[in-house]
Formats: sequence, C-alpha cells, structure tokens
Amino acid sequence: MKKKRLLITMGCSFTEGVGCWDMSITPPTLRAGDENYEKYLKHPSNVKRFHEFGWPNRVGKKLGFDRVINLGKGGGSTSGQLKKFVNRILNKNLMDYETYLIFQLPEPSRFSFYKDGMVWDLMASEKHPFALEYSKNIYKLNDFLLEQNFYVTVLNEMCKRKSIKLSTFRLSNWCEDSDIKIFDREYHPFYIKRKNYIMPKGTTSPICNHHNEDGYEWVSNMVRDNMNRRYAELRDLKEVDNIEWEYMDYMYNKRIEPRP
Amino acid sequence: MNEKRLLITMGCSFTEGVGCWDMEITPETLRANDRNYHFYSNSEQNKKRFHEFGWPNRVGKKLGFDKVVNIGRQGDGISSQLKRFTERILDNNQYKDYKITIVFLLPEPARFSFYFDNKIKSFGPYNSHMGIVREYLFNLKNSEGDPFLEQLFYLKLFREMCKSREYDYYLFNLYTDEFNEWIINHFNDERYSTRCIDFAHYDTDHLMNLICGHFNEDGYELVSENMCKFMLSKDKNIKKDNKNFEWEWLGDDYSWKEKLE
Repeated sequence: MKKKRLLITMGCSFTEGVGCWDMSITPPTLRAGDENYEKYLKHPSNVKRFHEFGWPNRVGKKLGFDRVINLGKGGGSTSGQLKKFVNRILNKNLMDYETYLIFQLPEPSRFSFYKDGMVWDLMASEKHPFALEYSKNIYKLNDFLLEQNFYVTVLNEMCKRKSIKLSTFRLSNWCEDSDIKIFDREYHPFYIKRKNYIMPKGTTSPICNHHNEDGYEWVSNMVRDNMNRRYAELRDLKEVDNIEWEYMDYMYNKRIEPRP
Repeated sequence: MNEKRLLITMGCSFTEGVGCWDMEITPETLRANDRNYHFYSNSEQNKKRFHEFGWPNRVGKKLGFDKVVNIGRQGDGISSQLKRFTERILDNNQYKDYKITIVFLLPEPARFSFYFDNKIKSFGPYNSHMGIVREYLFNLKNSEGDPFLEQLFYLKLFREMCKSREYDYYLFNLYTDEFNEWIINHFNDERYSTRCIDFAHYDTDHLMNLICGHFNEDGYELVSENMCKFMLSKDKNIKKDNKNFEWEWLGDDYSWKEKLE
C-alpha cells in the first residue's frame, strides 16, 4: 500500500510564519519594538494565521503532501530546534508515512539551554547578560557555523535511522563570508545565496520585517522547485487545496521535578 | 575472516587517565591548586602515562580489542565529547573496516561547550571565574534538573548516532543510582550503568590520589574490571583472545582549517 506523505518543518520565525498578520485585529501602524508589539504577536488570531499561512503548509499543499508538522519557532536556535525534534518527533511512530524534513537553518549564532525545565533559546545579539557573556567569548562566524554544522550532522544521523529525508536551506547569506566550506553536504541542497534571494517588491511585512503572505508564497515556490529537483518521486504529485497540519510548540517540555 | 574490533572511549579527565602520575618527575607534594600544577599535568611524560594507564586501555586489553581510540579529555562535558566524536570518528575512513564498540564514562552534567577559534571549548563549574559560566549557573533556577535535561538530550543524540552507524555502546556514570535516578528513569537504556565504581563499597582512599583527586592506577584498574563485568553481563561474547593491541589518544584539538586546506 502506498504510504502517506508527511512533511516536518523546522526553523525560526520565518518557519513559524511570523509576518502573516491578521489585519482585522492588528493596527497597520504597529512596528516591532512598539510597546504593544508583543501583545499582538501573541494574539491567538495572529498566531493561528502565522501557523496556517507560512511557507510550510504552502509547500505541503504544492507538493501534494498528506500532512504537515511545523516545529519552527520565533527566536529558535539550531540546537533548540533539535531539542524540540528529540522531544516531539523522535519517539513518534512514522512507519505509516514517507517522511521529509525541511530545516530552515536559523541564524547560526543562536544557542539554547534548558532553563527551569524548558528549552531556552538565546541570540548572541540579545541584551541578556548571558548572551552578552557568550558574545564576549564566541564571536567568529566560523565558530557559529561549526556549532550549527555539528547539530545538523547529528540530525542527519537521526533522520537516516528513521528513514526521514532531510533537506536544509538558509534564507540569508551567513555562509558566504566563511572560509570553511563545511556546508556543501548532501543535506544542504538549496542553500540560497544572497544574490539569488531577491524577493519581489511588497513581500515584506512593514510591521516586523518578516515575509508577508506573498513573501511566504515566493519562499514556498522556491522550496517546492528545489524539492522537485532533489526528489524525483515528488515531481508528479498533484497540488492539493487542503492539508492536515499541526503546529507543535515548546510547551510540550514538561517541567521536571527536582530530585527528591 | 575475523573482523577487527575497535574500542572508542569517551569522557572527561577520568577517561583521559588523569591521576596516573609519573612519580619519577612529579613531586609527591603537588596539589591541584598549586601554581605549577599545570606544568606537571601537561608534561609529556605525565600525559603519556595518563593516556596509557587509564581505564580505556585496561578495558581494551581485558576484552581483547584490536585497537583503542580514546577521545576522552579533561574538562570536557557530554556536548564537547559528542562534537569530538563527530569530528574524529563518525566519518573517519580509517575506522570503516572495524567493528566499533563505544564506552562513554559520562562527565559531570553542568558542563557545556561551544566552538571557539575553530576548536571545541568546554566550560563548566570548574571555571566559574568566567562570566559565561557564572551566567549559566545563575540562570539555572532548577539547578539539578536543567543540567540533567541537557545531559538527557545529548544522551539521546549519542544513542541515535550509535544506532544509525550500528556501533555497540555502553554508558557509565560515576554517580550513584540514587543521585542518578531521574536520568535512569528517563533515559531507560539497558546499556547505561552507574556501576563502574560504587564508592559505598570500597575504601576509596587507596584508589584515589592526593595530587588531583582522580583515581590512581589501582582505581582505574578497579573501574576497568567493573566496566568489563557489566559489558560481559550484556554480551558474553564481547571478550576475545587477542595478543596484538594498539592504542591512540585523540582527545587533542582537531584542526578544521587543516582538514579543509
């Protein structure tokens, strides 16, 4: 019997779908950094729209997948996303599915730890004292890339074992300044160089500078084309109008009880 | 034809073999916080002795492995060891013809690592004078649980990598079962043991040395005996007769730059 096709997506805010604002509840003059920005960012109507109209569901539909699970998280780091994958996907029985994983690699200087039982993602550029200390010690692009490469290497091993087909891509040119060409690997099929990443006009949300829905449509076309090039079996699948989808957040991490 | 067997050993200073001092060159009164401690601990003669007489080669010889590659390094945490493992072992063609078994003596869980200047840099409570470590420790509200969760995450990565490559593996911990109960319950792996040494059952004074608080050679011998017992209890065929034995320590820094050039 033909297996159903499952698409798992990982990444940062660009994968969570931030930018697909619900303009019926969001003031058009809102800007990131405004006092009430967080309130609107977390508003259930916006969150629902981010998750529904970002690139993951669009790619799922365009490639005729049966189901999409999106793990992408605003502010997410490579290691934080891997923690989420281990917590939420590793023990799932995926035998009924032919599974593909697309990882939009986050900005590589981000890192994560567990804090109070939850995954805690940090950016090197944050003003948090820990991030400041981190960036005093670790500041070279190559080091960030080596760190990211480690986690992607391990993810690749896990995917091989679970027969998940892994692809990764970047939405920026983090690699180009690096003299370490460690990313030309089998699972980096569509690393997009800045010069090839010219978004059409009007595809960015002025509210947060993420893509808007037109932007995510553009990204999904690019991802679809690259997936088609890479996997012959996806080429003849028909686009579908509706798809079963699920957004998985970090909240699954159960707070652990201290040792008795 | 018999397949050659390679034992990879992973861990911190207790795996590097720190404690097997060469007493011909080391003053008996030396202590870990002495100013000249690093001079002696980094001397070539002591390093060579650490690497030769720690538990890795003892386990390798007792079980008849053809070769031991020890990537254990003092100061390393579980994440730094996993990074070393991916650099040194995972895609190393040199080892592709060997049947690989890994023994990992887990480091203290509150250590963490990042790449710095193309090399793995480990951090931990032992260098709490550093701001990054102070901030890490300060942010651990659930100070017992969070490092264990971090350790559990890396343990799962390690297990998946071993299973993906069909490497046999054994995990040991110096903590007692009671202290380690949470991780045992959540990791749930029959290859995980806290029994490489049970401090409650031995007079450990004569197994440790006063210079650095690590095991001495008698201590490492006992650790290796206990590890072998556990490994044999899981696989009675793990012991073979073998007289040719070679070993290598690969816990030093790996040069990405060199490799890529």
